[in-house]
Amino acid sequence: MRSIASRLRAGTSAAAVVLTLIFGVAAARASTRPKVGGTLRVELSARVATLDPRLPAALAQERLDALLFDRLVRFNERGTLEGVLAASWKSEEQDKRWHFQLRPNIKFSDGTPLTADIAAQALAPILGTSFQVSGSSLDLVIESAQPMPDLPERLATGHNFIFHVAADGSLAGTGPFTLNEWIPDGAPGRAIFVENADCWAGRPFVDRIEVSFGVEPQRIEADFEFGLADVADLAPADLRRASQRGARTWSSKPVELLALVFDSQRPGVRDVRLREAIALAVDRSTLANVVLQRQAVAAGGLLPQWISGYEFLFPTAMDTGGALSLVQSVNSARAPGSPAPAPLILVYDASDAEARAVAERVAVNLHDAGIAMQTQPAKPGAAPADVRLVRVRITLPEPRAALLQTFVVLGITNVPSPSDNGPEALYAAERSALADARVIPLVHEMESCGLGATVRDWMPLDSGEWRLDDVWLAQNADASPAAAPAAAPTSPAATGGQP
Amino acid sequence: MPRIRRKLPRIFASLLVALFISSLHAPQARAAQAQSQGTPAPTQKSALDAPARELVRRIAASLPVGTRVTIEVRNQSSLSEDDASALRATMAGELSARGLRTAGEGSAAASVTVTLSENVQGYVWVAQILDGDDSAVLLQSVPRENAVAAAPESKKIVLRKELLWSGPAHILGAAEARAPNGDTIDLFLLELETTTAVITDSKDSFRTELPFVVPGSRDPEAHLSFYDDRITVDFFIRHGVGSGYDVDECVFSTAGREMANCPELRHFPPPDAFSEPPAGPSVLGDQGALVLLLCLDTQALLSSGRGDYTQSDSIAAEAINKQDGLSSPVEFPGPVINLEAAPLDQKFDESTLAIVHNLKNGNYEVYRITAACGN
Repeated sequence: MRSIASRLRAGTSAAAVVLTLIFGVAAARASTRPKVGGTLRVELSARVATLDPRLPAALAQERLDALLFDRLVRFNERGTLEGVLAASWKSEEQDKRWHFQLRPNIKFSDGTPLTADIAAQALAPILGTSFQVSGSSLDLVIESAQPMPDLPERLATGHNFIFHVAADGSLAGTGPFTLNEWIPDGAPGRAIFVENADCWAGRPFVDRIEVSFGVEPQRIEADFEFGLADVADLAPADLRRASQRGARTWSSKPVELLALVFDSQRPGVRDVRLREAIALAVDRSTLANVVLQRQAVAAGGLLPQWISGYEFLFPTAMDTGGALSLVQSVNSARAPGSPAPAPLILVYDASDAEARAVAERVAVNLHDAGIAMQTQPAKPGAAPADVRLVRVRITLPEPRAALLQTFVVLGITNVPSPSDNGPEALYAAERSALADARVIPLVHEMESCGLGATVRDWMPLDSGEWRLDDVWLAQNADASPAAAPAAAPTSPAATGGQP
Repeated sequence: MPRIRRKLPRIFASLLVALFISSLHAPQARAAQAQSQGTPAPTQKSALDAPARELVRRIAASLPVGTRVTIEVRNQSSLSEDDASALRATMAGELSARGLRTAGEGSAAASVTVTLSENVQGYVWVAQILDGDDSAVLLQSVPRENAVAAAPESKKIVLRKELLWSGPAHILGAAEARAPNGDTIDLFLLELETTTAVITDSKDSFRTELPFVVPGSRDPEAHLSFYDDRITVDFFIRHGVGSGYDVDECVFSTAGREMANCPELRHFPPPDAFSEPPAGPSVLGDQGALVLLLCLDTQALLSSGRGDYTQSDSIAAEAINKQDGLSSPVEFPGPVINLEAAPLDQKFDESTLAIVHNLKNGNYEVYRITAACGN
């Protein structure tokens, strides 16, 4: 018996192989293994004009670009950096020069090997003229006259993709998909991506992704309800209805800041007490829970609580009495007999229906506090506004980098950089940035979508970045509601996209 | 090529013999061996104690000695209420030790509110100090550690879990090296670093790369098994529907801490070239299950749940030929991504290792799952 047992021991690992082959599954594998195949149908409300990473990118474009192209680095689910095309990186000369060592043996979808020189050609126009980008073999070097302590974090998000320009001008990436069809001007627009079987990180699980963009919200809702869309970019009210009827929905952590940004040179808002009154008068709770249908949370700070850990220190409660008192003190300082101040002008993005609803609600709150405000969509050539409703997408989960990114977008330049990465230094910097009430945070909004019953391994980052290469589709028989996570024909591969 | 391929029929037969042999084992002996040993992961309490004392030190430094204070600790983080209570006690004790007098509300000169918060990178503890007209805010970041979960009780078979290792590295497989008496010598881990697979141990005292580039895969899979001072690593590379597998097999010497043998990559055609999947119990369906365990006179399979990688998971024992549940499930904070096949060895087959991707903190974790006979 001992000799039999010995032989068995020797064959243990091979036995695992046997089990695998016999049962058609991994012998010692758990959970449900991803399945390969199928077409994922995605509907987006935003319009996408181009997939060229060299052009300024909105969120929808970035999401599609991520199917074709890789970045050097990325954030993982723990909010720490990890290499994608870069195997390692280091800085020199007080962060004025960075070396990124690229992984060997990676090819673009057109068969061209990835080199540092090609990566440099891709990044140079994206980063701009204040950076010198060069490459030799697999060593990519990025230099600047100013220290760039957060350069890797910056390269992990946005449109900092690596691509290769073919002789015909088309772009090839190293990503999990290639572009098979691109009709940006359709109603709606349409893009078809097919799996890149030779992708260095392994082929994606779905064969094909069909994306419709610029789709009317009502159509997205209908298509999702009738099972014609697997991933549906639902408006907040539609998302709530879908959730109420038992459909799967997903929401990110709060990743977008909606804030009022004042032009403090304008006479109407030059007085800091008036801006403080506005901060007290806004009912953020109603904005989050009613106007935005619980797809947002009240914001007192620039960074959401899940990124900073200290946002609760900034007050968010409405205090109409305090606001009235401040307004009275402002009014009493005016010269007797001077005319009543003109209503403040608040502008918002004309294409952003949620921003309009938020702006109108803010105007109502301010009226209750004795402040007259008119809202209007931003138009080219219009008279300068007193205050803008600004939407800032916070893409960096690392607190310091996220705060600095937010400062840049909001034009906050009078605050020194945090002395270190600790929460105390970051809190001090953020408090300083908000002290003059030139920027007033309103809400942090989540990104959401509806998910079809067959969608599996939907594992986006907290920051809202989708990972469609991880997604797979269950067969219909597996797609029972009980099996679905409670959140919620292949074309030939194209050799390169032509955005 | 096909060293393993030639052996397959013989191995399969051996496997069946193993089932038979194993079923003859005395259950009492197995129950006696079910006591788990190994290298326990650090507990939450010990990891949080030092930063709690440090925060109190900073609080005390901002107040005059002898000040009467009230302290309130609010938990807004994922820490358990047990951990939060322990921290309250630690902080109150440390305040007294540093010469501050804790007092009831109303009689105190200063109030301290400590909020146990957290962000994406770890815990953030915030102390708001109010001393008359003076106020101060202190913030402290604290690394997030891992709690050891309790094991539920069960039915015929009692499954116990023990956290052996936790960390951010992508762990594909694990194996415990055992002495002849069954004592654990070390825990070996197979880490994946994009295209490099590394054998290491739980103390990270050495790192040895497998001598091949791991082909890109979004669902990599490997299994480790220990026997006789050697760990065999089988690395599976799937090629999609109908394309079969590649298997890289390496043998690692635990005594010499070196790679002993790595034959060339072997390709296996799709399963139907050998046989159709048998119409077996549900656990052998799509979920793939797994580990041969014995208790009483029953052969048992451990299997995980049927969710995907976004869901928490559990492991339970089932009878091999029926869908009878033999144990209560043990729960995990994320998907079980691997269950290592238990060595076909008479002494150790009551325990196996589960690799779990903890969705709460993003870590990969290695649990020892031990089966013992229930009542």
